[in-house]
Amino acid sequence: MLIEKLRFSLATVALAFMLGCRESTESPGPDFKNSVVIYCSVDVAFAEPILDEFQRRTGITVHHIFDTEAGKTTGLVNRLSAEKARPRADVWWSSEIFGTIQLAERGILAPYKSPVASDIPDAYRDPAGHWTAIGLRGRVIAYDPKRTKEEDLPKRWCDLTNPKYKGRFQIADPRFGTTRGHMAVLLSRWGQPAMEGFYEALRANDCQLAAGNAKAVLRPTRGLTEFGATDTDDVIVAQARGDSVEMIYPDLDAPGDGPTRKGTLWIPCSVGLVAGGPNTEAGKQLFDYLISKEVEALLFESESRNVPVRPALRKKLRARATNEAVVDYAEAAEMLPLSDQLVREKLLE
Amino acid sequence: MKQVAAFQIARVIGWVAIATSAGVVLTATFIESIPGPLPDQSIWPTPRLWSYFRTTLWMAALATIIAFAIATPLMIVLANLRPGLKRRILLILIILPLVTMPSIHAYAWLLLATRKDGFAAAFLNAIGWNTPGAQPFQSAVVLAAWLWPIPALVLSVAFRQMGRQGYLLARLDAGGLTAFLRDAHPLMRASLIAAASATFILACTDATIPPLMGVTEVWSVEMLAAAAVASSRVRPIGYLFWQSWPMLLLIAALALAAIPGIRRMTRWGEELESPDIGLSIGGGGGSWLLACVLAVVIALYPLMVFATEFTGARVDAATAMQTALKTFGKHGAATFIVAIITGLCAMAGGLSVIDDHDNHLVVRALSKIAFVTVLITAILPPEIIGTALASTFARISDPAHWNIYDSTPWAWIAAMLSRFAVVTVVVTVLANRRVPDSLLAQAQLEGARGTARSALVRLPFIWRSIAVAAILTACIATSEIGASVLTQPVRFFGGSLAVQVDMQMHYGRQDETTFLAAIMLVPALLAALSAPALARRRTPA
Repeated sequence: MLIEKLRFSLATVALAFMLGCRESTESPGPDFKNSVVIYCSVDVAFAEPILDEFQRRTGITVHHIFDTEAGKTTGLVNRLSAEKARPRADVWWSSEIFGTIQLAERGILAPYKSPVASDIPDAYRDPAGHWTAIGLRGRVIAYDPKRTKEEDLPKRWCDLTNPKYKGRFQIADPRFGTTRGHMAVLLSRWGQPAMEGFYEALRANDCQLAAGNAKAVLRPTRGLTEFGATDTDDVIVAQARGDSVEMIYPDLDAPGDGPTRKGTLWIPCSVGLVAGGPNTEAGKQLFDYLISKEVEALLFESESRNVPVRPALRKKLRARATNEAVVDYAEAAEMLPLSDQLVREKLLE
Repeated sequence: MKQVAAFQIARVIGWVAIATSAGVVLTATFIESIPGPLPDQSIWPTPRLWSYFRTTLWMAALATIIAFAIATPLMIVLANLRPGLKRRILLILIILPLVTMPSIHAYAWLLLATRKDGFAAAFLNAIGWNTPGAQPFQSAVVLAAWLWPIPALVLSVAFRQMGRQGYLLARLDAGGLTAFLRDAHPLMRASLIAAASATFILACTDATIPPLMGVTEVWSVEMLAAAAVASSRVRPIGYLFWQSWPMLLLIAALALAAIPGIRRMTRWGEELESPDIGLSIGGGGGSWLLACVLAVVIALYPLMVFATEFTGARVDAATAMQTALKTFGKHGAATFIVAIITGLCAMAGGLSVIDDHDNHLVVRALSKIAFVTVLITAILPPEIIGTALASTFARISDPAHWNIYDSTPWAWIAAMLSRFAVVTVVVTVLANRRVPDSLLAQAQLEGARGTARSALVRLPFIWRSIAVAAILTACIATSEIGASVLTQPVRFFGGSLAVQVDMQMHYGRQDETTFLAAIMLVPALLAALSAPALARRRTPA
């Protein structure tokens, strides 16, 4: 009797669970027809108003998932990979570009050449259409002008190895986020021997690692270190908070380069259409909106102050990517595995 | 008979919950790990990983030592208090830090240490808190501020039940330390090891406090980086498993070492204590008051820091509250729902592992399998748990229609169960052991066997302990981050508040974040208030 009851109970629960997992044969409800799913590693405070506006205008419901800051884009990249067999996201919106290019190489992003991207310079578009970039953030050095003079700071990234800066600076952990891409760009420009020497010299110079770019700004503003390598938006947020902090734009020159200035690294946000996403058409509409002039302007006007990639928009908004270098992002993304390896073996080992 | 039927249904729900959460994780981990490390992966950790391993160990050891140092005075006062209001107040204050989201502890310390002025910042600077390279030390202190209730609670129970009488008698002819070491300590050793193991394991595996405090060279942060590498591999879970085996081995060894102590704690939650022999350690009104002041400071310091932070805020508290609620309110509601269901499923999971020697063989086997599955899964890193659940549930559910993965928070709840159901399950097993054998024999004589005996005799004895453990499980689930980001549903009305709060903490937008952090203390307060209230009622005789 007991076993019969048990069997009945088990069968009931199993049936209920299977109904939960079933692939419905009924026509999809309005929410499924007219909705889009986005995975987003742009800060929620900047991204959510933009996504809300898209929803208000189009009537398409936007479902979004944001990443944690500790792992930067790691959590959502893992999720996209885990769901590769049956994707749920339609659009990927990242706060940087190198991870996006890697996702494209793994076949997770679909080609889509948006008509809205026609005025975006080629450097910020994948020729095959797997990704489009908008809204730049610069890689800068943050310092407290009350304690440190600008002329005392390194003018080039390779100057960080100068013994006079020993123990005086921090960079964010180069295994994550924009710092990871930054190191890959340096590797693509300097080559492996110079990069290995750079890491060894950084270690000799007591380079401290910070858990994220915001921390690399916080410590100089509190007098706990002299300067830190970070992103422009982190400095702008700290300034808005009332902290005494300024930034300079170091050049990408290789060690031993002459007086030539190669310019500052600016890293864009990136947008991609997920291959095999459930709502491709709605995904394309959202993609078009996210790379539009309007969103670029909104990002510039936000506390993040991302500089538009469109030259005309820059002019209109009087935005300037100070000392901007010409960077081949795809080439740097190709270097990421080697760059990660060198970071582990030469800087962290 | 209704009670028996309800028990049966709850138990079946428990089995299903464990099978679809921890069961899925364990199966996926087994399938991907059995073929061994990936071709380009070395089974032996590199010198860098060993160095991270060592840093993790000394950081966790330091955290454990500090946690015991904080816990000891409070434990003595708690152990010496008679049941009543004073004891409940102190108990609430002790539980609160443990159920508070770990990031909140870290954020409070971060705000405190990086203030531009003030006594606390000056003091911390003077003692070298902000010295470059001190991050692992800072992290150990914050971990201890979160974990000290574990030794305080475990040792106060052990002391009341095993060591108090011996200690009091020994004090007649010896000093306090000698009396403790000679007479109380041998009786409490197993509980001491259990408390130290639990504190050490949690300090080793926490992935929220070290990154916030700026520690980069520890195992949990390395696992975050390894997860990025794993995502491009054929067997991501296998990669992560073989990357983390030394730590898993250590955790398993520590868990085994804790078993004797856990077994001795089968009287957990009862008000039983060693006989009154007319002697007292102290712990009168004065020491109670002192202990309460100390506990209030340690338990409520995050709230104090957040409150003072608003005095220099860019926006006033009301505006910060409005902004935070508008942006994050729905995530708070979703997290609350997930926590409640997690707690209920953990209760059902607890019932599903109750074993009775005359149950049907299938029932006994299912109970044992469920218990072992929950135990093993609990030691896996959140990255493995999240990846296993996301890939499995994504595969079986169609994104074009309503489905369990996208439209319900089940995968997220499953992740929480995989990580934390162990608390409820272990407490259930311990509570089950204290049901008097004579009562069970009497019930058998009267014809109640197997499930009926469990429902009618065992359950009235243990349900309060299970409920308390479920409340704690639910509370811990509200602050989980690593697996939540991988499993929160895309078509549910909200996601994980802890993920949002964590992001804001790292970003440094302090006003709204401070308010959010204060909000995250609410479930902790509720748990701290309700758990002792539920536990204090006596079990029916």
